[in-house]
Amino acid sequence: MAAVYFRSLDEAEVIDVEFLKPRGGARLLRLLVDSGFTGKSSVVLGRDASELVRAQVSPTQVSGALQGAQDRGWVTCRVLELSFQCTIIAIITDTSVLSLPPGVHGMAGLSFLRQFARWGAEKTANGWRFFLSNTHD
Amino acid sequence: MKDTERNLRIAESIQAKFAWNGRSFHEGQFVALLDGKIVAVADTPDSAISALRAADSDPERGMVIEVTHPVVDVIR
Repeated sequence: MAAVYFRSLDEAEVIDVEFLKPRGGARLLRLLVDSGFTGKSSVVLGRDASELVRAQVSPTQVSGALQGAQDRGWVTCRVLELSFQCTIIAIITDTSVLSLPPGVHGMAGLSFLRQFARWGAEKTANGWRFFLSNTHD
Repeated sequence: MKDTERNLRIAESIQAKFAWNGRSFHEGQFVALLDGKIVAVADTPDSAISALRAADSDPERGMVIEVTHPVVDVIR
């Protein structure tokens, strides 16, 4: 499949990403898309996602909606429909300060989106949807 | 000094000077640290993590850093 589509929420773009557990199994998490989230870290996940961390990363300073030194870890995630898998840096923190919509577990930033050849939102007859694609056209 | 503190001290040196204890590193490399020692240097995070977990299977032990200047993450 060249692209995978995710129905948008009324006020946000979201994607579903599967994260692999180091000791086996996986968790499917819904992430709010925020291309204004920049830096080396790719996603923000809640404290309950600590079980997904394969190895620690040195903490980083964060500014904006999150502030100060934040714990980080390496996590491996995949989008099965695209046969896509990568290992990225996740900020592991208390996500309650981010006021995420119900059912959304974290955030995906620009560093995550740029793992793909194309990404974006488009309006269809059924409303807005967000897409990730691993092809250039 | 705890494992994490020893690893962080090395990580800070590597990210500031791209060097530690007479050994130099290239930007973009990934360094696995355990108990204040370098256990692997790799070109991908997966390779560095695999080497770290081969040395100690506990995901809470050790650290993998990218050789790069520190970057502030911004969440708008």
